[in-house]
Amino acid sequence: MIGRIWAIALNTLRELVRDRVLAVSFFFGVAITIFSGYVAAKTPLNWGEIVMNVSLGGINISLIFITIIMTVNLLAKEIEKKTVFTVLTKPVRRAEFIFGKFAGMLMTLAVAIVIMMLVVMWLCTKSAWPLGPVFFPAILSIYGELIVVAAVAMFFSSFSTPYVSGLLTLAVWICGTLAGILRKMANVEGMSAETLRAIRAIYLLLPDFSRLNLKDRVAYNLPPPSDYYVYAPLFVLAWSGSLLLLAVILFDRRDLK
Amino acid sequence: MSENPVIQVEGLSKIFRIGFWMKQKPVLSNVSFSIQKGECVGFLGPNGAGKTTTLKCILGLLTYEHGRIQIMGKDAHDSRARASVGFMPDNPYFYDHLKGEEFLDFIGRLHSLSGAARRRKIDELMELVGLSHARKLELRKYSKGMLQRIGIAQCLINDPEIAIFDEPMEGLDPIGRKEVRDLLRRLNREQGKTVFFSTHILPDIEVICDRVIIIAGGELQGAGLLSDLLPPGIQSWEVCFRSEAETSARRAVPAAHPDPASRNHWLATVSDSQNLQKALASIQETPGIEIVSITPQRRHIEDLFYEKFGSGKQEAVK
Repeated sequence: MIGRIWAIALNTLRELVRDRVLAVSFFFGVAITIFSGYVAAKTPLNWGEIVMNVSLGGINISLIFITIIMTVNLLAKEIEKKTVFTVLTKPVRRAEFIFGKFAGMLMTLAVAIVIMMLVVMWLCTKSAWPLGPVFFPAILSIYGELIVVAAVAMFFSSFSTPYVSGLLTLAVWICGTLAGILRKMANVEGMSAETLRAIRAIYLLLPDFSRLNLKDRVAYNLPPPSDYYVYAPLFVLAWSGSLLLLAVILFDRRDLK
Repeated sequence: MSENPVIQVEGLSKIFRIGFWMKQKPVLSNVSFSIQKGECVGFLGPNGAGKTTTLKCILGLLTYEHGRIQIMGKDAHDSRARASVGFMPDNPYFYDHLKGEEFLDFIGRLHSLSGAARRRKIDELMELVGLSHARKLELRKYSKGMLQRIGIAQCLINDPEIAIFDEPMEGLDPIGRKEVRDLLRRLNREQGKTVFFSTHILPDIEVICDRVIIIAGGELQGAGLLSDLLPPGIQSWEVCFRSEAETSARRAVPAAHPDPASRNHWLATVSDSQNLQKALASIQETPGIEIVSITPQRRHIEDLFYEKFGSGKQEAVK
């Protein structure tokens, strides 16, 4: 089982790396990072603060788009090009196929984020700006967010078209990024019980990405919250695990015409 | 025949749900057949008959409403049932970013073959399908015939008990068709593999198959040994003769008609040897006419197929 998942993951990684879209996206992300250095040099504000905010933000957003575009096409492309027929007519379970594709996607994103991280590190080293201890956890938190977004995209694409899946995943990501506001609203006094219940219900349905976010802390060299190292991995595991499970259940029932 | 079929399909029914309102469209209705070990079986039917749908149900790509499918005694839903199956889809679509040998290595991994076994099978199969020269070439650069051949190689990498092909001769030139036909025959007759393939290229069936299963409109129309379906012996004779004058030709054989392929050539079909003797005598007696050829006519699967589905009969079946 592990061997088959690994084979599918490696094939996915190879396919995505050889894909020109990925190269273009890399270029886009790297360009943002370098651009942040340029902007920082032109402003009278704290150089490091600007570089960290702009480049980590740029990495985050560009990788979110790369993740959504590539993940929603992972299954669709296999079905459209009928390559799925070659794989699923072998002794491969559909769950293994989903896990393999997902693992390949995560490996590709890991390669992408490492390249972008190296560019930021190069920029900081060149400008003699010391990287704080929160830099690496912040990169990991971006990766965690990408894992959940990829799982959301995989879930939607298990039963829907790439276009619809892409829009829905984007919507979930935007709402998830703003979910922190809902969390704060739920603590505001003076709201009716029904409104509070509705806010809490909506909040529970969304992955609260704001709780993973460490980007602001990097700029000011602030340590992560005390429960972060427990909460963040659990958050990523719980959301991605349950979404993948749902994707497997839905894809298992899907007719591959 | 063996008591334990390698593929058993019983009462298979499949409905597609189409469009936003999930309108139901039955595509297979109560299809039952079995395939025995070592057989070479052709799955025949006009376009849209349900051949590919049946194969996809057998291979677990489609769910089905009713019926039961077993492969080597295991339920078709069980992915382990496919360990003894090799499958080549129609118009093979493979990962075009992979090189020939990378692709076969990937398929070998899906079958959980060891590294040594994969390397050995890749060498052997590349040689078998005549692609040793193209093993380092990306699949996107392969021609249609080469893709068909690498498709056959991936189908055989696990040394399957059953090889299933969906339209293996589709879109190939005559040379490619012959190569694939010979390969299927070798697999069945020399290596003893069970071969099951769908096609609508009928002449190939007679060369390769022992038995055919005919489907149309989603229903089984018949199944049997080719020797039972096609009576042996000569059904009629076709006489070709040369005559420059139409009147002479008509006088010799009133039912003769001009041969569209050759000028001054005439064709006449006679049903039995008595009529053949009469026609030959008449031709010899008529001046200015000479016999070119006498060809015995046998019944072919194509004739049988046309009788069942030709000229609008297919619609009637639907």
